[in-house]
Amino acid sequence: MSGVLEIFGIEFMRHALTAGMLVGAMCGYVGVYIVLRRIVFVGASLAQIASSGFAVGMLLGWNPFISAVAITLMGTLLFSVHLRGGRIPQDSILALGYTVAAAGTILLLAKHPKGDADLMTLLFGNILTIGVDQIYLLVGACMVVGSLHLLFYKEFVFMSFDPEMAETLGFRPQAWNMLFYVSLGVVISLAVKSAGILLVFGSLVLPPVAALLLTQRLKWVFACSVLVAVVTVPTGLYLSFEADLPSGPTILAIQAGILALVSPLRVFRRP
Amino acid sequence: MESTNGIPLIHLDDVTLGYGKNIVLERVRATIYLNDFIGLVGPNGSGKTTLLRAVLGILSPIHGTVSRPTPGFDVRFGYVPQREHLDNLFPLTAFEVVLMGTYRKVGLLRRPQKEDVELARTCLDHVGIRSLEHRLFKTLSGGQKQRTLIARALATKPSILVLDEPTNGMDLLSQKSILDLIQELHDRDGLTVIMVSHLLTEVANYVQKIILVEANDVQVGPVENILTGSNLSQLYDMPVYVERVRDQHVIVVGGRT
Repeated sequence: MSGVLEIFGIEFMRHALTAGMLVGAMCGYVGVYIVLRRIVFVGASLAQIASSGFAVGMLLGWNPFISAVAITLMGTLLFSVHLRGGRIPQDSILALGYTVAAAGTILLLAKHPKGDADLMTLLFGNILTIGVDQIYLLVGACMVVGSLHLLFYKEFVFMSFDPEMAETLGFRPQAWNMLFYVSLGVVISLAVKSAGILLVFGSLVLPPVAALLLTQRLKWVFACSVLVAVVTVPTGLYLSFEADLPSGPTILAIQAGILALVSPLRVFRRP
Repeated sequence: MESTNGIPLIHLDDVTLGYGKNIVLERVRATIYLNDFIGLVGPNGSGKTTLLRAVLGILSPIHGTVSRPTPGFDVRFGYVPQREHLDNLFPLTAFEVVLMGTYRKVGLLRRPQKEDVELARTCLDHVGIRSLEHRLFKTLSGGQKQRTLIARALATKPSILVLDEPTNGMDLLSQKSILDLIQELHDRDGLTVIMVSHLLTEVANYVQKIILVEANDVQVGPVENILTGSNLSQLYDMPVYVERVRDQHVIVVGGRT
């Protein structure tokens, strides 16, 4: 116990813990919608698009957060309009977004003096180098996105489950979809800079899937998903510190472990 | 060919429908009256859903108008989508699904109140599945799911109940049970009903009027006018026989010569 307190007594570990839990809470929550709407690769593509936004910011000397949020929001607009069916298949649009953003990030950072290091940070994240300003930003995002989803919980669930029926009742699914994707874009763009593409994508998918296996009530699915995503952060950070492992992949490995542990539970569950 | 009775609720006047440059239906004229029981029938891909979307007001016509000719009459749709369109991944109970029907009344930034909860339970009761309210929607049988969706539509307090392929993929018994329920809602509760189906035989013995959509042609009229051997033979360009067995319409297509 004293070892845990000692580790999290160190300032950069405290920052990593706070930021990681905030990222976990946000990704764990919106991830439930991503899994239920069967749009997990939207999460992957947006994470990659966010990283290209950072690369643009770094290269042009702009605030990378602002450029990342702006470019991710452009990506969310593209997805919210084009993922509703059209001439190009949905998965092709997602693959297009992912590959173009990935290639763009690599090309943009190739000419940057610290390009290789920045690229590795974006891909795997370096939660241990997070500053107080980033934490404030994450707290702000958490409050805004959290309030939005709390206030419009019933609308987001309705729109995700049956947009057709919602439309006949006078709701505008397109506008709600846009709002949902914007909240997703904000979460992902801010989370990617703090935790890296890998951890963000993993946290969008693994905790919600584990939660869906753990419980069969939607509100509990949200709660369990957030809990799994948040709890695995201190555990992962502690283990990574003790074993001298990279923090993001360690957190993901624990999330995957929880998923493996809860998988057999569905066999015993009542319908 | 169209009968007129009662209060007109929806009027389609020379309506052309489609998506972008793709025209699906042209020059449709039809009126839906209060307490009508209409079957919207046609093969898959004929434009039934397009016509339905126009009636529901979620697809604007390319040409013509879809109007509500009776001022002061609050036309409210209780829509029952095809249950296959709803994803079984969502862990929602039958009650939670029915409660969605109250969301328009509940409004933004508000949670359903006690009376909304009561309404949802009453609607479940009305379709005979109150005991299933805590069951997950995805674990229900086809017939039970359909009843849940009908209960949700009733929770919107509709003036027109619109059902899209309500008996698709059901066995004969469940099919009859759902159609009987829909008829009961029309006869007992006085609901105006529009039922979409790709099976003419399915709706022929329940509805009063038929809107028949086939190869860009739309026929509207009472069942006895539409459901004649000569009309259907001409429409489908093959011999079609309409017989009555035990007071029920039986439609036979083709046959050995």
